[in-house]
Amino acid sequence: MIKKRKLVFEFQNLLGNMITLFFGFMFAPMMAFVFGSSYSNVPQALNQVYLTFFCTIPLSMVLVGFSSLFSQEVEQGFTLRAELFGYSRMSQVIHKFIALTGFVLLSSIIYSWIFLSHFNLLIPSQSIMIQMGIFQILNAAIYFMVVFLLTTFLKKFSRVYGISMISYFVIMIVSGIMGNLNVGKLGNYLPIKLFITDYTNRLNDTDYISGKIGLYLFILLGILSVIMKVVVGNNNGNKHQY
Amino acid sequence: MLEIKNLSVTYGSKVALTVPNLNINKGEIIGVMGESGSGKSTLVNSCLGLVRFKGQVTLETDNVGVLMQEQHYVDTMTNQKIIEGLLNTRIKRDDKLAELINFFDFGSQLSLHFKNLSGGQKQRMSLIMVLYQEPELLFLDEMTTGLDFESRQALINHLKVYFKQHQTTVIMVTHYAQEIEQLADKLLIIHDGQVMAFDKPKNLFNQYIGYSAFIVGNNAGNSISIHQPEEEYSVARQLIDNGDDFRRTQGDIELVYTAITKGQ
Repeated sequence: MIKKRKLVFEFQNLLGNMITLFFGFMFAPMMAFVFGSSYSNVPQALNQVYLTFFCTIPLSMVLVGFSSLFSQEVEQGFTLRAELFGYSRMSQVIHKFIALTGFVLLSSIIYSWIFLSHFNLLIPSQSIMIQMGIFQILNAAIYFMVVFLLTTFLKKFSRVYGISMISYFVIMIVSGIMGNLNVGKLGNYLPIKLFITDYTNRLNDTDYISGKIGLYLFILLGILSVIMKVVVGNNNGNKHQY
Repeated sequence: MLEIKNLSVTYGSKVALTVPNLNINKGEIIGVMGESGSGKSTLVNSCLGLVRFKGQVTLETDNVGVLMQEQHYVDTMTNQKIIEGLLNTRIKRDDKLAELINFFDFGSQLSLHFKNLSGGQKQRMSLIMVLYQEPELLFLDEMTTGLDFESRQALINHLKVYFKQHQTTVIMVTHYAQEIEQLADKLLIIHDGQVMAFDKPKNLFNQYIGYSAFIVGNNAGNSISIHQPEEEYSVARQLIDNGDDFRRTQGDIELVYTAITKGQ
């Protein structure tokens, strides 16, 4: 069950964390401006820059910001304390995910508005906007589960944050967002790369639906959900629940 | 309210705690004493399902409150927001919460961040949140750690009234004999992971010490047990003649604890 004050608490928790704020709200527009300025007269290139940094919002917010916050909470026993106050682990997961997704969507809207209006680009069609929104939510869910599993297994902030930062840079490099490394076809199988190539020329299409990306994300989400269910189930084994 | 049967907790190959049989009735306040590492916190953690165990632990209620030994909350917001978030309420609109905050004199700390509170203030904040839930079964693990003498005494006095009013069943882990003397109906002594004694303090005193005792020099390790009332006067006379400082007791918990754990 969703509790209003707990949800507000999770929003405030994210707002109070400078890493989440910087990487969630400032990183994407900042980088997009830097790269976009070089292609200010090439709409197709600008679309690509726009979509590239659009994808980094959930990536940065969850793998950099949220992982730091959540792993510290677990290490210091705050999540356990919340359990003792009647918030089951699943309830905490749900509240945190809703707050995080709200932030990802809010940041995506602000970023889009700043970038599109600055470079005088057309607003994507309604159908594409909805797909972009769904993409952000599914991506946030996948990264969220990865951080949750990492934290459940590794428990310590230093370990979790180290691995999540490595994952962050690896995804950025393999997807071609950061650096100029030739990683062959590997990047083509990542949803981020697929998303950028699929939508760059179709931002204003009214009837285009990219089923391939959705399918990819749902398969990833399904696999992670099963692992998460097993992990949560095992951790509760042989314990009295109240 | 709480029933434990054949409880056994092991950490690696070490047996941390074994409790063959323990029954705690509704409204009883149990003081749990033992040295550091004797298994007191393990007992609480077992009841809460926070450690793996063999055996059976049955709680008759889902309304369980816990005050842990160490307090940690997030530092990204003020204490007020933490309290409101965790209790799913607003202080302004909640008289019960406002009353608790007032009683624990916590109002001026609401706008601070948790990391800026002293140890005692952290304990009080947690107590406010735990007591707000009006738990039927309450676990207190070293609740007065970090509190000065006056705050501890004020807290004990308040809790005494609160527990009687609410018929709360309490399992109270503590190092302070004074807390048990003032609050507990029964005393549970754990030593090296074994339950050494569980009964009313008075019964334990009679069983392990006698009718009364004289503690000489305020040292529980230096005491004289009295088994018959008529012996008292002669022993007291002797102590006075020797010029010793002494105290007579008919229920000193520390004396009972020392006698049981040291085999005196």
